[in-house]
Amino acid sequence: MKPIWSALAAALMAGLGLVVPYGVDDRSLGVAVAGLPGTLLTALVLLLAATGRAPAVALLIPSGLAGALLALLRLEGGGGPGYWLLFWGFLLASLAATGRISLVEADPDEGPLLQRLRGAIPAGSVPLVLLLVWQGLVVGFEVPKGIFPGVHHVVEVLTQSYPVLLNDSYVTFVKEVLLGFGVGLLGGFLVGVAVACSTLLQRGFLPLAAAFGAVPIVGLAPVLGRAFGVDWESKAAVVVIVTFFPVVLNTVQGLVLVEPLKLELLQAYGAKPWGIFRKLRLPNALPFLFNALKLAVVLSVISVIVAEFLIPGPPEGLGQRISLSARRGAYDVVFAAIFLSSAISISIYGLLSLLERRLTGWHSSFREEGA
Amino acid sequence: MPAFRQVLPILVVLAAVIALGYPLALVFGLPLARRDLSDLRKWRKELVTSLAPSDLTPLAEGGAITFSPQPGRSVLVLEGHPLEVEPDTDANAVAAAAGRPLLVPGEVPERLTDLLYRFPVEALAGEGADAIYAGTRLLKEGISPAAERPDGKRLDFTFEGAEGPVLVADRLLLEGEGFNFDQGRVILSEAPPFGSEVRRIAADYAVLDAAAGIVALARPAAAPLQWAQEVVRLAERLGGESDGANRLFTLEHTPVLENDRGRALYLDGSPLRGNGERPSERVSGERATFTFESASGLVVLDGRVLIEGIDYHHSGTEVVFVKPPARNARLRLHPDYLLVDPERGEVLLAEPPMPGAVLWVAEYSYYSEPACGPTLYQCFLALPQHPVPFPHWIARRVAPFMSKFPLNDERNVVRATFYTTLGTLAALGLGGIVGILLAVVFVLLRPLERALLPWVVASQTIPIIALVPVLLLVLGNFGITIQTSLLPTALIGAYIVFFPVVVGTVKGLRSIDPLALDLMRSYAATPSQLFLKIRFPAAVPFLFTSLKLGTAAALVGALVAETESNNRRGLGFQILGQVQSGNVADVWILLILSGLLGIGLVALVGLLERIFAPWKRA
Amino acid sequence: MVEPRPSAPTGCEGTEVVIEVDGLSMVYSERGAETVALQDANLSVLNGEFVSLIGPSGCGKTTLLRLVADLIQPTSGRLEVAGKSPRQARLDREYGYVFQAPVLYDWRTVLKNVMLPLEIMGVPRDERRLRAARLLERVGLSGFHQQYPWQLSGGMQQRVSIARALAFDPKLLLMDEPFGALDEITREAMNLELLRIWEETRKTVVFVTHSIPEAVFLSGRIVVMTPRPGKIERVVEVDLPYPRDPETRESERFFELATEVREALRGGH
Repeated sequence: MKPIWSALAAALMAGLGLVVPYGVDDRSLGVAVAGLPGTLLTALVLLLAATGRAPAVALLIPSGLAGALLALLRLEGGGGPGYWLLFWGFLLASLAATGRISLVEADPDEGPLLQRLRGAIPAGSVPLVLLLVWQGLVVGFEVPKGIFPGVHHVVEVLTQSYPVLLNDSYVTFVKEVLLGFGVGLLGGFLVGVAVACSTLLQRGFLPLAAAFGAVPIVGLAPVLGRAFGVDWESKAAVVVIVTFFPVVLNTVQGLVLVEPLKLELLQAYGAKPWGIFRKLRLPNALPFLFNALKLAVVLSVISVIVAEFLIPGPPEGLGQRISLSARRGAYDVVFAAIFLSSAISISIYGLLSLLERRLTGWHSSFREEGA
Repeated sequence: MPAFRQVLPILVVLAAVIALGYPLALVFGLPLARRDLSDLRKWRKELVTSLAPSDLTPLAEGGAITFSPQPGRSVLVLEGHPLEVEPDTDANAVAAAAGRPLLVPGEVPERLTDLLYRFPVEALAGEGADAIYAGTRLLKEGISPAAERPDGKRLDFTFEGAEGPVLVADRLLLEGEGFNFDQGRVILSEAPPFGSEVRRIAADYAVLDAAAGIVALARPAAAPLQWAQEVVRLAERLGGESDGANRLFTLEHTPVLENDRGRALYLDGSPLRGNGERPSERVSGERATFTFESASGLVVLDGRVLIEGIDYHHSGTEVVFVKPPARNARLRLHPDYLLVDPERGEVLLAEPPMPGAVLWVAEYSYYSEPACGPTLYQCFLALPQHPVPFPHWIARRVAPFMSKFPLNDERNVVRATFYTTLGTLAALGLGGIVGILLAVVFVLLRPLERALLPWVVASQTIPIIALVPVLLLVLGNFGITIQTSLLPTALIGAYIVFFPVVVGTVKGLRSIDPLALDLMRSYAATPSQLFLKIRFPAAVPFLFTSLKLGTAAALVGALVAETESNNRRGLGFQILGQVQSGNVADVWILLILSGLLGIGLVALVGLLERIFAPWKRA
Repeated sequence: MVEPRPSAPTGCEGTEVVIEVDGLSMVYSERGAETVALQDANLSVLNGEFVSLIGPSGCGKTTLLRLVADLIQPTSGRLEVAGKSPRQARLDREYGYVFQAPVLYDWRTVLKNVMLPLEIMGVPRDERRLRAARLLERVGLSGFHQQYPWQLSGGMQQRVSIARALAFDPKLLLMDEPFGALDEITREAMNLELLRIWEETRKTVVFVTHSIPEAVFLSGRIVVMTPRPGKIERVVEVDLPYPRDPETRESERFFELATEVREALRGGH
């Protein structure tokens, strides 16, 4: 379908939504009218973009989506035919707009800021679209909060109970993940260096460590709960183990997989083992190490939450919060906690990637994008 | 032998890891053992009471009083008064010092049968309950429960160190009429009902019913029974000088329970009150005057004994502080004495006893030794649950654990493993298909990749495992439960698996040498030919690498899904069940089993890779 | 500078012009900077001729070859391949291309690698198996049908690649430094092999190389190119008689021709 047709269809649907009876009663008519400009705006922007005009105007699409979402957030009660027209209009408009934007080739005349912004729009629109679908379905089918909460319920929890959730995040991420991650990283690195120094260990330890990667470490959680108590220490211990093995494996690989010629060159310069380690092996291992860290961060967060599930201790931490809330049917709290945990781990992941770029920007993996 | 050379280092390290289990077991177990060793509540609790003499030969015959066992620091007591004689003097000297008979008999018990007697209720309650004599011989009480639990069918029972009649509930059975004795086991003629109490008299008698005063004897009494309402007793004398100035005394058996309600201290003939009295006013931080029940005693503030005249003044039942005690401070008045140091058994009296006065104790409890054993290592061995058991303990558990449930029980280990394997494979298949499709779409439609790939990465930071309950609820609405379908397990596993598959496959589809693309261009190949003949085969090794990564994750997903659902299937449920019942060794077996399963599944994927991508160099 | 022109054949070429290059230029522009990869090239290649393009890096010899293969499009000038536009020639599968690297597909056996172009062109299964087997025999790899590429040596891999290029019997063989990555001894053996195949099949060959002895040994004509900007310096006729054998390399004429080419290469500076 050509963009202009999808734009027209979206506009038509939005218009119909205004005319067709909105719902079983008209209590939410006011809100509907408030939500309509969002659709109309999206449709309009789409129309402009479809005619090849004003790619910069297309930057407004996410804001149109956000406006539509906001309007839906305040909606309550099920929808009649008019509601569904409006909903599908929203959805089509937003999907078409996102697709349209991502198809636009980069224009060399645009400034770098604008270019970067437009590159981010498709990725940025996806969660908005997802939230829109979520909220639209929940409102449309009048799903009760106890079965599946709406976006607005989750937002409400986030704005009202944030002190509790922040404390949970502190316990989970600072006490458990950060500490465990640090210990696991340090221990894994040291063991990795030791293994790299010994051929016997390399031949014997590496296959075992690789096999250990297939062991469901979360199963250890209850055992660690016995050893370290049910408080945060046992969960930090889970993180230590989860971090330890990838770090060992990657450190060894990075230290060992050195180009023989480079090694011989340094030896020809009469470099001492320590010098070779510092000047060649360590820089060579850094990219491997960062790979392990990025993997370990994601694994740690998942494992720590499972560990909190499996070792019920004091009611603190995001995993405990999720577990407790799920048990009493407070799924809005569950989703809020999941949102926080994801947001924080994405930030940690991003931070690590940034650090990786700073420290190992010379590595070939950063040049691939040009090819 | 190259294979041997390859395997040897692995075996060496494996042996080292197993050997490492021993120090690790100690590292994790010893702190717990130390905690058991130092926690008084986990010690064996013993009771010290004044002893009645085991044999009281009539004075006329010039006999002696025999106590057994003979404690060291002791004093003889009669009717609540210490006697001024040495405990080991003969009965006549004691009688002379007491100036009255050494035994005051109580009411004569009523004889019901040869073995059953009814005593006055007070004979069996309170102090002196054990002072039942047959003639002049003290009878000992003792009963031992059956080692087996009656289930309504069982006839044979074993008892430890008991030889008398058997008691089923309150019914008395004699050997030959009711039960027979056979090779250390007691065979009852009639099965005791389910849950009833089966006991056997271990000493001279047992109290059947304290409220009714019914006592059962092990054998018919040789002499008439009597109970001593009052008898000369051997009591413990507290260490310390009674010189009119010393107030500090020590108990012999320590450490002592701090708030022992049964502790009965006597100064000569009068009982002492040691329990702290609360003030009738609240300690507000401003008030300085407090009222107590007793007019004198030790004033203790937060465990510190205050000094009269410096810290406070007494006026009647009122205590006036020089400085108001801090808000909510713990203020107590101990009228007669205070246990200042439970560890060393130190008792501080409010008033120093007169010279020559005897401070003695009728009853108190103390801790004799750690219940787990005298040494740290024994305590370690006695731990009910070892976080890391010794490897050979785990090995010993394997056979009984594997055969715990028959094959037709869902909790059978083999069936559980099979179930978990199915779940993992389903997850792997589903996640693999979704991942491949997504990767193909990404490679074909670059814009879609730009829009979605960041969120594929982000999706992995969502702790999907946290959503298991929600997912089970939602699927449950459609009638799909984990009991009837593998779908929930597969969905959760697939969510974890699809991520590496997408990333790996996209990488693989893009891994084509630019020259190879030029070559296809020189053949004027169509896009679909390019995809089917070049891109897709090139992606296969990448796909398998990702699937290997995903296998472990899928297994974790399946295990967690199983722990979260309340059915009895799968290794995940087994792990949770063993954790809850505290069988740590079994948990380790299950962990090793799931580890082997994970390794096996990865090997299976590797085998598939060999079949589907045979060109890959070893 | 000698104007290049169709010359008297030393082998057994026909007179049909297979490649006609007329004032061809190729300019790359990146971030405002322009690189002239090929400037005003003129060349005619006749049917059955063996022509080498020689020159240092950046002289445009690979560019010229890629232009002929329609892997890139010229900035200006006229180019005809087999009397058609290069694009049409590519769609009609008029040429086979051999790269510097063997570019064999890891997941295909030797036989299947040779069969790949036939598969794409829709040749029936039995026939393509037959033709691939025949070609493998021709390059001396009869016993290696079921091997995977990584199990072969570099020279053998390149022979598979040549067999693949010949598989669909194209009129024209374009070879871009096919033996550049091989050692000297293997390379000389491969040269002999290539000559043998050429004499058997009578294909027109355009051969890019940076080895003077290789060019002299193989070619009927050598197009000498110089860089900055990439252009054709002159064309050297090689009048050594075919068939050639290892002794050809030791003849006096061989050294004279090599010296001529070397001087032509130097003349560009």
